[in-house]
Amino acid sequence: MAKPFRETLKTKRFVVTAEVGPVKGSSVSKAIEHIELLKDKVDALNVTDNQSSVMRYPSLGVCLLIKEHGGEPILQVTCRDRNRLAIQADLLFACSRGVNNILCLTGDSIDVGDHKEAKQVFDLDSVQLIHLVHTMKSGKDMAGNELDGGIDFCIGTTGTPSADPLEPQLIKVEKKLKAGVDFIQTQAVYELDDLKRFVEFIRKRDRKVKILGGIVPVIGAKMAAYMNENVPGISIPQRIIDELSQAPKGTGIAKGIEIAARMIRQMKEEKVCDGVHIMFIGREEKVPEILGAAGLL
Amino acid sequence: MIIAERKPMEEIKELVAPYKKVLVAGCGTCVTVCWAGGEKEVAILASQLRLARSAKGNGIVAIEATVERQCEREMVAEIKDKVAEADAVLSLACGSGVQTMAEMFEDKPVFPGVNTVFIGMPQGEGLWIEMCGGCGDCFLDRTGGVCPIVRCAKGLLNGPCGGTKRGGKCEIDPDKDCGWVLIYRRLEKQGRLDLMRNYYAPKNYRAVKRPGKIQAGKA
Amino acid sequence: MDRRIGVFLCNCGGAIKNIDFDIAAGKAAALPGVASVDLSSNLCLEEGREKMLSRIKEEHIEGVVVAACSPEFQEHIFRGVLKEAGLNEHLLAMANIREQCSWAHEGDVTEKAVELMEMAVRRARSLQPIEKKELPVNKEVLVVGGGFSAINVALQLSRIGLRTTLLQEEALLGIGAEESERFCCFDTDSMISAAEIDENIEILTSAQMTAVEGKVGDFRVVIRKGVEEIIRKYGAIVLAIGCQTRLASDFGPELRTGGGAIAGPNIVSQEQFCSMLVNPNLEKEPRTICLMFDFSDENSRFAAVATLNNALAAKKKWGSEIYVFYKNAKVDGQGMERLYREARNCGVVFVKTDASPRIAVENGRVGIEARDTFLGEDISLACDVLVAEELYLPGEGTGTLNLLLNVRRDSRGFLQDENVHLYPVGSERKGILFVGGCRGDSGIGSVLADISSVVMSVHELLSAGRIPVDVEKVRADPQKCVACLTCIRVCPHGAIHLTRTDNSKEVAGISDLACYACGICAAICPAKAIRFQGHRDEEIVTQLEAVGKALNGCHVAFCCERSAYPAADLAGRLRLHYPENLRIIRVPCAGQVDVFHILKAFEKGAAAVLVMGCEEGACHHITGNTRAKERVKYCDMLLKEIRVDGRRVAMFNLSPNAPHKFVGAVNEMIKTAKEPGR
Repeated sequence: MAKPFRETLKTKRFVVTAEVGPVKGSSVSKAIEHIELLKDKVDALNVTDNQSSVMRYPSLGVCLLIKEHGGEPILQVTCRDRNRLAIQADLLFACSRGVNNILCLTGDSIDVGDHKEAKQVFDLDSVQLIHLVHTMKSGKDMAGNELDGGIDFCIGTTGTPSADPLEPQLIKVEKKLKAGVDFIQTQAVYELDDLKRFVEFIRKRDRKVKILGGIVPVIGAKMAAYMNENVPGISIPQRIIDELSQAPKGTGIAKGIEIAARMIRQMKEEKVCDGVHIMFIGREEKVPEILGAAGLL
Repeated sequence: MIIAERKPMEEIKELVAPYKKVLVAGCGTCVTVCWAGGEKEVAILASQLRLARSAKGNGIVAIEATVERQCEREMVAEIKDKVAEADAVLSLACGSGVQTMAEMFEDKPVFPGVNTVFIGMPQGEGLWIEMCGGCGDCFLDRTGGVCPIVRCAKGLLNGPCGGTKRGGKCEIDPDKDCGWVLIYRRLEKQGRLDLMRNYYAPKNYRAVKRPGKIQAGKA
Repeated sequence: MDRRIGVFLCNCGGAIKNIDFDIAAGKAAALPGVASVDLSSNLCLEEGREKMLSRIKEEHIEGVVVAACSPEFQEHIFRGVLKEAGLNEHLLAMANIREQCSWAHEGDVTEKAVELMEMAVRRARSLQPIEKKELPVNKEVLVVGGGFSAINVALQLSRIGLRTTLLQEEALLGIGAEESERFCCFDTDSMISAAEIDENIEILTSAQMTAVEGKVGDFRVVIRKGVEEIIRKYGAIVLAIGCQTRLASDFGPELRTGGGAIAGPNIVSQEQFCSMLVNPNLEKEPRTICLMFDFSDENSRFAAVATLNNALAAKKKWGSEIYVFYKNAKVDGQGMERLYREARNCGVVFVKTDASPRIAVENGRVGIEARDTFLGEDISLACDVLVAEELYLPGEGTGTLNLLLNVRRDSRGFLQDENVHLYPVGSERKGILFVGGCRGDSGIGSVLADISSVVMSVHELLSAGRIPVDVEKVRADPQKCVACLTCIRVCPHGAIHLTRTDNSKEVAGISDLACYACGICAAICPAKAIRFQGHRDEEIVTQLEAVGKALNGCHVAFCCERSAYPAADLAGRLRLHYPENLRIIRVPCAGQVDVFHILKAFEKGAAAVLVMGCEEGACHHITGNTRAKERVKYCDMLLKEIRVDGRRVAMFNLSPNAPHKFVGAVNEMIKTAKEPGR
């Protein structure tokens, strides 16, 4: 059995989490492959919730698969697709099945996904969601009704160190901290200084919360430009785009892994943060290479 | 003010295709101001319909009329003779106007010629932006007079999502301002950023019970 | 509509040969509303006019059609006849059967002439009278600025009896340092004292304009002086805020001290060089001097004149060795060529070089390296003093002033839109004028000319104390106006304001004084509330009803009376032929052409519609032709979406003296437009 993530966070070691993207379809073999590959190499596995507003196998479903295969899942919950009733119901279910970690997110806009005409919900926002988890922990639902068995989650959330402007983003993060979170997995970081500034801000307000720097490897200059345009919360600096475009043909992935590993090493060696969260969207099988290159295996 | 925009021509042509005599009915209030359904747009659309149908050798009589407010029965009544003359009505008013027209002339097909899109204001010549979602539970006192319900793409209440880019633009459209950055800047200017630091509990999204109905208390 | 119309046909002393006037007269007589038809061969001469006058009276004519030459020539004469006959002069419609019919086509054109007459008769029946009135104006003038141009405008206006207020932000009147080199030959001190003692001039210093409302003859200006707020009324506003100078960016920061001034005595600005020239206690006269200009801004006449003047002065005073580095040296201003020759003849060496020279300061001397374009050789020399290139930029506050006054700036930020019709000193708003450096830098000769032009314009506007206007020629019907502000936003002349009717409804109010009657507002009004007399929907549509009756699938050209219409006339005079089935509707500006008018033309059977306006950047109403272009584009989309294929509607820009372009455009359009798919 994997160590509960809450326990891992209590230790002093450099925490490593990685993302597993659910499959598009009912066949889960690919997801299981990724789980098997990664479950013992990282401290916990995040499962995205209709990532980028693209409809997929549910986050909770993959979380249960991770449990079945002896891993430690982090259930990502966005506010985009479910109203407060649906979210509460899902949390009860997750808790009853031993999924004990939650990452509270706003969720990308419907406009970036594959069902652009869907009604977006956002009945709650991420701060309200964190409050909700605490409320339900106390044995009551949002409407104040008694629950027959509450919930208990190790609560995480996110933040964007490279938001422009940053100040409104920091106010939001401050509100999340006040609401009470155990860990923060940041959005992708490409400028270490951005992360340093971000961590410093948090440390002044909360000394206990664990901060995991977000890593999204980029494997080519074109992809970087595309991500800058289309992926919310991502700003890849020109410096990295230049480095990628100078890489010889066919070595894009290797270069991207090298850059990611370099960033992770810096984060660890300079003690910038408490760990890393690796999001290698659609290339989960390459995560061990990054871990290896970063000296985390 | 209610903002609308004309429906695609293909859709309009299909709506009126079975009819010989169509009344194009404008409204002299919001939709005139937003260049969607005033007397000018009525004239243009009627002219287009005549040209389109005469090109197909399937003539149409497009009658034109514009009332001051199409959401008022008394005002719509002023054009009842023209309605009577027509086989169908193509209303260029907002949804309220179309429904008033439809309710008053129950035996007459009444079609919308515009899509009603939002409550908003002009930002420049021929440019309108959404300002209000009509949520029935106004939040503007806490946000420096910038509505997060419609000016934030996700209607968030506790600050921006993580997608703010390029000096305060929205993640879904680089041409649109992030509503929360606008709120931040306004409150910062007023020295009231504490308002933004406050936690706001989930909103009452049922403040207006559909269908909405208001009875003024005054006699 | 039962107005009695009198038709007056004129064969222009026999110059119109290919129209059978008897047939034409007979057909005209049969047109609805026509009460009398007269044939003449000299309608514009005294005899013809008298006959016209008596016929109008005898027949109790209530509306007149003159079928003769282009209205460009004699319209005013015929209006005079109507006036004399006691009719409103606006109840006249002309059929241009000479330039745009007889002379434009070969063979018999009687049928077309009859159709043009029918268009005119229909128009004459729907025209409405326009009252003329003289409106009183405030005769005081506000001059913003306190420099050379401002003081001189005030002094000259005083001489013709107009009172002015000189308003300036600085505490004292006077020539700014950046202007001194240009005006050194004038006795500016005596100008200032003259202004100070002039009873017609009020001097308000340390004060600034904070708000402006109203229009020509009646501007309400809020002036802030310290804590005090003064509200004053003026008939006109003259801006004379000058420009400012900055050293060209090629002089890097290492050569400057903190405040932007050049470090050391070796590299100086024109201004500093001037003070060296007049300094009687100069320690050492410079033996070698280099001057530079024209590298950063080759259109700066100020910089050129200052450089030439200073080079010449230094040569004469010290006999120094002088080199002037330049790129293109435009010397097209008044007296500049002479100045340039004089400098050369005195021994000033001019070095043409494509790139800004490299500069280094060593041992108290300035080293300069450049490539001489003519010799094709590198030149290297050292001088005692280098006079750096200066840039002339819009004065401080230009950006606030143009917003305050609702006037446009040019692409460099100076206070005058780049529109040829505004030159020399006008703005797009009547009664707001620019003079001197704020219009962009120009030589002293131009500044002096500007001052005269401003004084002349103000005199024309205000001296009589009254301005004649057409009453409500363009008017927003308060019953229909929904106060959407569209017209206020689009009016290029700032002539429309939100106002209140007697029963306090907010509506658009169009100032008769400030309005130029371009019709841009009428064409865009979404409520069709704006009525432009002479160009109302009724007047346009009724003409279209007559179009194409005689000829199938005709083409309609809406022609701006400032450009395309006279170009068409000229085509006729030059006998440049184009197809007979073109019908021209004269409009005051291409921006007046309504999308609805274009669609209506198609409804009435037009095969193609041409909208023809002034060349880009030369619209008399600034945005009229660009708006027309947008509307034509929109109209094309409206046609495409109802599957009316082909190139049916197009915009053409041309100048009034471009008859070949006119004929080319017409032929091109007629060739490419498909027959209507009906």
